[in-house]
Amino acid sequence: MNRSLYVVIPLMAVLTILQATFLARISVFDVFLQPALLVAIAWSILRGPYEGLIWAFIAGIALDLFSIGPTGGMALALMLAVLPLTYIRQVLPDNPYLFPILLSGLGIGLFTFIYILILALAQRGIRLNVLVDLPLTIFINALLSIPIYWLLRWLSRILYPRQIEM
Amino acid sequence: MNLHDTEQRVRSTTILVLAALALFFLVLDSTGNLDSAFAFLRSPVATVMNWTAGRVDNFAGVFAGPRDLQQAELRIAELEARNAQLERENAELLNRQSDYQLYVEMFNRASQSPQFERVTAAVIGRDTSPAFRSIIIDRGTQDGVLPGMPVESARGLVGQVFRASPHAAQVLLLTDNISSIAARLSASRATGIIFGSGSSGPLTMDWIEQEAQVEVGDVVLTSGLGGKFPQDLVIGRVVDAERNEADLFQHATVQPAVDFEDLEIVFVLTDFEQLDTSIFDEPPETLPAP
Repeated sequence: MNRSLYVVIPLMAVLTILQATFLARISVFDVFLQPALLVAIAWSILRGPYEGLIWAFIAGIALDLFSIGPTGGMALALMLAVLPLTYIRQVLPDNPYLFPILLSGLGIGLFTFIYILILALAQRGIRLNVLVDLPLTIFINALLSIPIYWLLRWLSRILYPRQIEM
Repeated sequence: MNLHDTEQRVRSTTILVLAALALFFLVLDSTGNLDSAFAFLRSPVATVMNWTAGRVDNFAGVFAGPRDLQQAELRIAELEARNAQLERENAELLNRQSDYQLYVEMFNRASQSPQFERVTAAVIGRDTSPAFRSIIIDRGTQDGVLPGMPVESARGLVGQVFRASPHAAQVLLLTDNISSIAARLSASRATGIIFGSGSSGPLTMDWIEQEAQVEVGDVVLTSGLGGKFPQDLVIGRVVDAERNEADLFQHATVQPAVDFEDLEIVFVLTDFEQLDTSIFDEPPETLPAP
């Protein structure tokens, strides 16, 4: 765990700054890319619930810093969203293309629903208008999840090389 | 007279005639009468010359071709480089013109209402959640920016400061779901509340009394009621009005004056004269006993 912690904090800092500045000006069919979210989801798929939840927490807090939403809201929503993914992962066949697309799409959908619920509970408005763009948001971000998943798989192999017994 | 003498005489006469003819031509030319006389000759000659020159050029081109081609290629490359440079310069000038236009608009806006104290801020980011409509600006509490302060651009009201840190602040845009601003129509002076839709699209103006005349094209301004915003900041323009006799109030759809997707520089109004609401601070007079 310690090794990935050194990576996740600077990585999420960079990704959220990128998301708030550069990517906020580039929309694909009015949908914005959410790399921090995708990275947290992909890592939870790769490394299981424990590391997945820690990465989701750090990603959520980083995103909360650049949002007017309640601090901790995205962190909580993301943690709740990635948790079932780590269990669904064990059921699905390990296809390197379909696997990240399906789980990322599901993760973004779950995250959005949970976050809307948290915002409503925190009296920050009932933001159902987000659901209008949700299918397209899921589709476009799920496509981006493939290269992210592959990069993180490579990172995972570097951080946790397989032990071979001689 | 022998044959030799006769021949000599003919030759001399011919030369003299030719010389005389030359002199005659000179005289005619000096008086300008020769052109018309020779025109009938020049025309077919020129045609023949043209035809010949064309053939000669083609013929010469066969030999000179490769050298000219190389020169032409060099020239094309040179012109392409020059064109690319001019395009770059043009893009840079257009960019500068756009910046200049923005500064002029900002200056004009500031000079229209010099009574407000403003802090100019650059937009450095946007909300990381698609659920919110907010921007991040590069001025914070150290620059006098505090939560609740109104934010405007050269074109109109942008929103208000939601949260401020020492060197940055988050601004809630008019278009956000939780944004609500006291507004009035410029023509009828009817008041209402402007609500954000949560998207970058139009705003909604509710709570307009039924008697008020609402016309498409009416300018919507801040009313100043509530004291959060100064009076008469431009919000937008009415694009649709809905009046239902069964309702207590009218509704209007308002197109914001500001393009929220294209914000670069904004003003934070750090000080402005609030509408005097002190009358409400005084306790109401006791009603006389019946």
